[in-house]
Amino acid sequence: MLKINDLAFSYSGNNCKVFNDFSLEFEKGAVYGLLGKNGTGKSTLLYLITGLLHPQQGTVLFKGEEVRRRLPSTLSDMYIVPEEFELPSMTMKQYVKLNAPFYPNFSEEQLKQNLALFDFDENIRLGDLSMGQKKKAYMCFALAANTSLLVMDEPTNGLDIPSKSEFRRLIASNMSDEKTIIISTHQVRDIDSLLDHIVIIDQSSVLLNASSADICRRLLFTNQPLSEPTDGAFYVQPSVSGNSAILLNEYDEESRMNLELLFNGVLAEREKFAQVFK
Amino acid sequence: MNAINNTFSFSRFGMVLKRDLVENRKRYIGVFFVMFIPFLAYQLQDMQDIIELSLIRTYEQGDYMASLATDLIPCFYGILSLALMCAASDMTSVPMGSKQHATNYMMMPATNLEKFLSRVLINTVMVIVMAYVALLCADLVRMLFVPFYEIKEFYGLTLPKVFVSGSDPFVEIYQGAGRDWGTVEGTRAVVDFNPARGIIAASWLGVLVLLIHSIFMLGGCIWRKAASIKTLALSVGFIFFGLWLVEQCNLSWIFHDDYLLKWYLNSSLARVLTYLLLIVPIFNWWLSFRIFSLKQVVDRDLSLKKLLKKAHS
Repeated sequence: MLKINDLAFSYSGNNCKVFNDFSLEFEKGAVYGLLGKNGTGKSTLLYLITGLLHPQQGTVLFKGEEVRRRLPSTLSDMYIVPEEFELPSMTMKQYVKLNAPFYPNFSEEQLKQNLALFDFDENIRLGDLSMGQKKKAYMCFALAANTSLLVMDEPTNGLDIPSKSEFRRLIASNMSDEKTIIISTHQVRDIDSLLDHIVIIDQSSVLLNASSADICRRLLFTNQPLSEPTDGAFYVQPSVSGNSAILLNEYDEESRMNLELLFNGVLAEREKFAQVFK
Repeated sequence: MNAINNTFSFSRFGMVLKRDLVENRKRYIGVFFVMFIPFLAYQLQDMQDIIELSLIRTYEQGDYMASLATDLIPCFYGILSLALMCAASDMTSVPMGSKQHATNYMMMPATNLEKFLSRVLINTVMVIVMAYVALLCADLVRMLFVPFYEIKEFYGLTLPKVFVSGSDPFVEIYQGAGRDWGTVEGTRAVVDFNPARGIIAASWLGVLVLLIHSIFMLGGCIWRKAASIKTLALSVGFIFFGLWLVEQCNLSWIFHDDYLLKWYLNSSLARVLTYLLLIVPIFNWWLSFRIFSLKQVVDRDLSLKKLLKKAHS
């Protein structure tokens, strides 16, 4: 669905390239988690994916079409929810009237359901909402647009605790086999249960690109008491209750993926993880 | 997905225009008032001046309106319309003024041409129409003040007179340039009329108007903020630099005694040159569109050289 080939990009005035010879592929029907440290280019990658930035080299193809051309056929099938955005001062009903006609698969019924999840209706005035509420309203619209690709940058930033679980429900209820959702975030605990696929990037390197199922098949996430030895562990991180560890899943045991631990582990032990997922 | 028209769709163009007008309505209302208030102030001041100078006695019924209209014509119909279009170039990048706005606008599923044309339409036609509406509204508001003056000649609208009594700058130029002056019975008078020369001069004015518009449109596409001021400053800078260069090369004689104008108006080359000059505004509009199309959400790169390079690529 989305192919990034040999991408090179740098901001002008900055000699250091954000991406160089960077390639990645996204398949349909999955929720991708795009993780990386601050300044590794996650948001830049999202802008490149949606054609909002143009690469100096390489291509970003969405359904075979170069996104930098910003063709209506491409734009009507993708949506971005940036970390910061502006909504015009009008009701949601007016906003829908102005914007929904651009999206052929837009569903008003779905929008109503999405809004109801956050106790909103179509008469809310977008200009009067707080930033968190705006984000929820915007995500409701974005999901109702039913585009094949939905890109979200830090979607849970600014959401209160109940809204974070509502957000997970919102994504789950709007997901289909034809859609791809890419979520870039630092708040890994807010979304770890949602993700079908994990991509961890660091500058031009893809440190990890694997499905959640594959990760759990190959790795075992455990919490051990401090007294227990961790010699065979792939990565160990001290926690309040002892040690959180990642081990090789040699006996096909089941464990719940600890995304934060995995992220820290991949960054600390790049070679080891690269070997496992080679 | 394949059924979507990727070239130009009039219905989608209408949608883009509608969205633009509704979402930026506060700004456009602001622009309207920026025009309305000076118009009203001018008209009220004009009435006051006429009373103070006791000029009203010299007017017959209705003539006051014609005089007011005639006063307005040179600035409003000619220079002001063009100045408004130039100032409105400031608004070309309004929907992309901030990163957030730019994201919204660029992700709107419409072609770059549809988006660009909607901006052009707003910055030229709509601003001019708004100016006329502002004049009409100022006129109507002025009528509310007329009873206080107790002078019946102040009744009546100015706007229709603008069109009835208004002199067309193109006609003025055509007539002025076409006339051959001479001495008849000791006084200076028009002795002949050369229509071809008049047409060249009027065409040249047309090209100049298009050139100015295209330069400001280009500026509006390059700079997101205060584009008209930056374009004006740069243009004035270029003009002064050109004049300085002419002075340095000892070529200032071409400005004396209308030498250049006479050569220009009488030369057959002038006609070709006028049409060739048309290429410049067309190039500027094309370049404006290319720069508009190539805009990115983070435009840290505002080097004209690089933009030109990108536009040609």
